[in-house]
Amino acid sequence: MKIRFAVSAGVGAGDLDRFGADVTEIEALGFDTVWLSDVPLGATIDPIVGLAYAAAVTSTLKLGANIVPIGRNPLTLAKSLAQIDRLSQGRLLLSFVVGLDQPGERQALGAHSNRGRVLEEVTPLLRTWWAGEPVSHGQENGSSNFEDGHRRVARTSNLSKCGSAGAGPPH
Amino acid sequence: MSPQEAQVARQRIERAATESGRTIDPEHFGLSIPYAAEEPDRRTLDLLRSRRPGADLEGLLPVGPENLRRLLTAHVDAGLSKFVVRPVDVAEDRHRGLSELAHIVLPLQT
Repeated sequence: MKIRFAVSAGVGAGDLDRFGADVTEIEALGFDTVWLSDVPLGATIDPIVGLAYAAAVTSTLKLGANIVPIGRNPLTLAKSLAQIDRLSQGRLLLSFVVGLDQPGERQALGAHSNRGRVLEEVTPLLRTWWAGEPVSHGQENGSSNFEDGHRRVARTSNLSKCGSAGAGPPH
Repeated sequence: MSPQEAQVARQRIERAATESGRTIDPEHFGLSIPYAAEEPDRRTLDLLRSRRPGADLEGLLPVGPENLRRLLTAHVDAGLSKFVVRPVDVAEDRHRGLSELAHIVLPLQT
């Protein structure tokens, strides 16, 4: 087994001010990955922002995050992550999680009470977009159909390396 | 999550995958582990106890380099290989804190 270590960064409000310095330090010290957590209503750095920033200030460090898809539009999430993977030359590692269900999240994010079901619904959508395949979703339950958007994402980015280059630790 | 719990969880996941006709890459099992360089304050300990009543705190929050090394080795023996280390007590000198952490864990990296 390949044993690999990531270090968390961008956890608290104070960490934002030194996020770039921390990430470059983590790379210089030889850690495999920097790891960000998604706490939508917390002071934790937003993983989309943090991953993009880290991609710009590092060159070999893998960029990992737990993503809570709840409250995020699946298509824009797929596109953002795919583009970060391209910009970082395939250094993205992701795990998708239901999150902590902190007080107020359901109201603030319009989050579904069954967080597991949202995860089960969104994950295959993301995989399909990243594979460049057509998505036909939501026709049965009346939610939006993303058919139009997927082709743009598929052409813009390809995430085929994600999940096979290295291995993201589940949270 | 203790190494014993992690091993049980890994086996459950593998069993569920097999029953569904799927496989999980054995390289994909990992865990996020908090780390305290020094004895944590009471608030941190109370929070941990409230989340996991009755659990062995040493298995949840290693304190000091030796305990972290020992816990990581036990998790590797339990079949885990990808770890996120989360320092809970941010050293005033962040550079020193990260360097010390690198010194502890990176020799275990293969």
